Amino acid sequence: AAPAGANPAGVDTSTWKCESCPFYGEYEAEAEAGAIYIDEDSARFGRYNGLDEKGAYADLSARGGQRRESGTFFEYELIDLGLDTREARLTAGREGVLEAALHYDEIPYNAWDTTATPYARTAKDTLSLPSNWVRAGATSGMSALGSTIRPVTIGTDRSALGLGLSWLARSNVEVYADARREEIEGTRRSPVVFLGQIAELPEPVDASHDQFEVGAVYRFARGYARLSWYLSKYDNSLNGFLFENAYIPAAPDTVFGRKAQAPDNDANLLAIDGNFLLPWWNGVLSYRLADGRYEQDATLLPISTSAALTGGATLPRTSLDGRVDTAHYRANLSLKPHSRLRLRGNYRYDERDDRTDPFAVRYVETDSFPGGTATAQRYGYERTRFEGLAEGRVLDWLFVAVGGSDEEVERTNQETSETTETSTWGRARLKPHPTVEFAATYGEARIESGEYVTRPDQPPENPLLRKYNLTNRDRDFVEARLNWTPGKVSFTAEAVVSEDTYGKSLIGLQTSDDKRYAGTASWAFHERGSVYVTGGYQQIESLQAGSEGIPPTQDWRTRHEDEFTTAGAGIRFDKVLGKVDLTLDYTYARSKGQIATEAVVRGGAFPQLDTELNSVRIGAGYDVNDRLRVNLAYVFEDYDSSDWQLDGVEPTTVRNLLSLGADAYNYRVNGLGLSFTYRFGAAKAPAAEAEEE
Amino acid sequence: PAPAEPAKEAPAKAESPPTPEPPAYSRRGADTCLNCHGDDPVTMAIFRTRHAQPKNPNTPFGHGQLQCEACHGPGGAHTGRVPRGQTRPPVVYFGRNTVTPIEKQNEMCLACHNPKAGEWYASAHRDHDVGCADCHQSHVARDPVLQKATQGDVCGTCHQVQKQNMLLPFAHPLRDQQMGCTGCHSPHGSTTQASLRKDTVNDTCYTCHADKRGPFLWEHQPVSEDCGLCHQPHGSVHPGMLKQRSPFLCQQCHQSQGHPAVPGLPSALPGGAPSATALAAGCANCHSQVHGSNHPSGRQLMR
Repeated sequence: AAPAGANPAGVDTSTWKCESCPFYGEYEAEAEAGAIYIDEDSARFGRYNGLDEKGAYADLSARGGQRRESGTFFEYELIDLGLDTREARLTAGREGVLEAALHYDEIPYNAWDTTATPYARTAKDTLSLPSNWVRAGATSGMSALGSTIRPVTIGTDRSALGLGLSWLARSNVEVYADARREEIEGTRRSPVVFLGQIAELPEPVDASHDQFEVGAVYRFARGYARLSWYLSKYDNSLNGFLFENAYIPAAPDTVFGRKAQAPDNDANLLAIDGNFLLPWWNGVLSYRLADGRYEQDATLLPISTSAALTGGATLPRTSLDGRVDTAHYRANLSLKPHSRLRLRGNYRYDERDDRTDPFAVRYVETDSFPGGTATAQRYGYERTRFEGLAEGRVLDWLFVAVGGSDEEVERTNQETSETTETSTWGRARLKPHPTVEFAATYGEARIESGEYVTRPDQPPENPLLRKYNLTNRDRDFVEARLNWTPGKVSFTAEAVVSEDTYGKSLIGLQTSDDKRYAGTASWAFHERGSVYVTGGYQQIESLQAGSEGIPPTQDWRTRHEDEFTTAGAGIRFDKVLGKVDLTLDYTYARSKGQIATEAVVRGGAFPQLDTELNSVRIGAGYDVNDRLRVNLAYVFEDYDSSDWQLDGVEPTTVRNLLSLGADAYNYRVNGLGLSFTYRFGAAKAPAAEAEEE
Repeated sequence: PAPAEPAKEAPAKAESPPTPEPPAYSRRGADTCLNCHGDDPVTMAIFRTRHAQPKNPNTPFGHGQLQCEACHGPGGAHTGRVPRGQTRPPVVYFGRNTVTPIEKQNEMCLACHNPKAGEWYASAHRDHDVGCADCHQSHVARDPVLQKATQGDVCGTCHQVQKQNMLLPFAHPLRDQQMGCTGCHSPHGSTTQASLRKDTVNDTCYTCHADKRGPFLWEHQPVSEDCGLCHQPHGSVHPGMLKQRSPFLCQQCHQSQGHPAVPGLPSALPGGAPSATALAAGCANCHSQVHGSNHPSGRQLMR
């Protein structure tokens, strides 16, 4: 029998046989095999797609599945098996009772391929220099560098294996469990330092992250409730790593230094959430209550690699025994007391309570000289937010809304113990015609901070400085969106503008303006063909001030202006001559970053930061018959960039920075792909036909 | 996995006033509908989807269910004889430019999918009158918005600015189709900041970046409070998706006497007096542990 309520009207469906319903029962699959050729090495082009090296790649994908009359089913999908972005997914179960899913995927992160280093990994946690390395007080004196430096690629591979189960224990009770293990391996570009003498090196990365969630959902007559428990375990195979000093050591036994890596840590969260459909005013109450904890108990590294500098000091503990309790409570009430009026109210509370016991540590600065004793600050906050909205349908085509929020943040061990943000806004939505919708919002948000007290750190911050998240800020914002879909043409545009002023900051961030505009127009010129043009422009400007004078005054300013322009156009035409599908896309993206320091000797403008992308992608598919399809793809991408933080910075350019010599990204890549798709089982599926319509 | 959707035990959540008269359904359910719509491939594609699984009593085509009329509403009038010159009465249609109000469309979906859209009533999408069918295609086997590779295009239909941001020089891998918007956001609604999937910004980031979670022996205050204080998660022109690059970003909060107060200058570039305070990673050349350090000597975030 059908579950109660499945047929709420109590309709007698005993004669509804669905005899003309072509329910899916036969095994169907399709497999794609082919090759991709890339004509240039480029970590940047292949950053996330795995096509980072010149050469040929196998293009292998498949998917299929079957739903049987018995009610059992399975589906699988294999994507890009020949690339470092390979992914596999298998789902199986019994309809309406049980479903299990297995998922595997990989994502590469190819960061740099223009880097070189004399360092080599001589042990799991050790990066050493060649035996003939010549130490010097500056990079220019490292005379063995030329004969020992070797190319090294920087990047990581992330792989994830997931398992999910969902069991409909009763018609109104569902139990689920999800597990996911992620492994990350590779290297990252990492600077290490001895007393102001820096070396960049390929830091090893080898960690895993396990996540597990189990929960149950109970549905009742007027809503649902869910209870869930989440566990996350981060496991780093390295607690830290040793690196050899490329410079003449400041102390005799500091040939090696040691840097910590992210510690193993756990998090768990117990939560209940749900909603309740109220019997009046079409009301809905939604809620979530979640309590969690972060814990970290990794063994602490020694104070220093130098026994002499440590001076016999010992750590008061073998680990931090860190613990942070988190709380998140929120509730939302939505009401519609009248067909033309809608009300909503939200409450949200977040807490981060660092319960770690502080303790004093005797430290050594950069394995180079004794630093003294210090106690680490523990930071926490409580954030309480109230929010409300009222929207009325003033006219049939006009909706007017007003809203506001009040957010109070209380922090521990920081310059201000409390900030309060109050925001108000108004919005008009116009629907003068079924094909046109325009919405515009204007609002302001004011942050007021409590007393700002510079903390007694050593050395203390400039007393005129106001950290931007802890001080007053006035924000005005405007948002607008237009959707116009007159028949075969559609136009969508969006504008988001905000202006921030930090009125109490003589030193620090002064102003920040953010303007973003974007839009797309498309035209379905034929029942199987369409074209589009798209574009956007963004500008982010900010002004900050600083002081190097005594007494502290504002004596320098830096202006920043980031711009980002995009443009694109494309065409799609399906079933040309009844057999061929064609797509063509062109994408342009240009970013500029201008930074100028003013009111100071030797100030002026930095060279412009630049990136420019030009990309053309062409795709064609030819249906040889109902089962076989030939796919052809071509991509051309040209990317030019300049970055003054990298340009001209060779390993020895900077006296105290032995760099990896990374270059700003530049590439010009052509890629060609040819593949064949073959469909097994039933002939062309209705779904595929529908998608092609 | 996407679990099966059990049916709700109560009448659909009604956002519009209750209908005074019991609605009339068709005589033979889907067989009636397919008399006219059986040649329409879009209609017939429903049978390749999860919505049309006869062995699942909780789907519209499960035993005892209302088949097409579970979503499209009572079709008695629509399937009956229409006097000459009159328009056939509509059923519930889905999509932006149909005669059915968005609220009514959503009401049909939420009748079964309420737990999947728990905070829909608090969502920004609902505030802007977004319909389920604006994002979802229920008649295709592979709904584009549920596919990682195509989700960004669907969301980008309205979120034009975010769609352009995918092209920023430093951005999450949405353009490469290795990540979807729902990796971070909950489009069905949430009263968290920016409708995030997790309770806070940081908890969302820790899903993939658990190495930044700590707690560390030496913490960096803004890191533990809000990743978004320094990073722009939708992309940036600066490395690491930072709002600004070092040393300038750091100097917006650190101006103690000595080198932190010295301005970044173009004279620090190659050709002048190249300086590690401006080049490569700037301040992070020494203070590289900006996310926190668990080294006993990591007080200045250098170890």
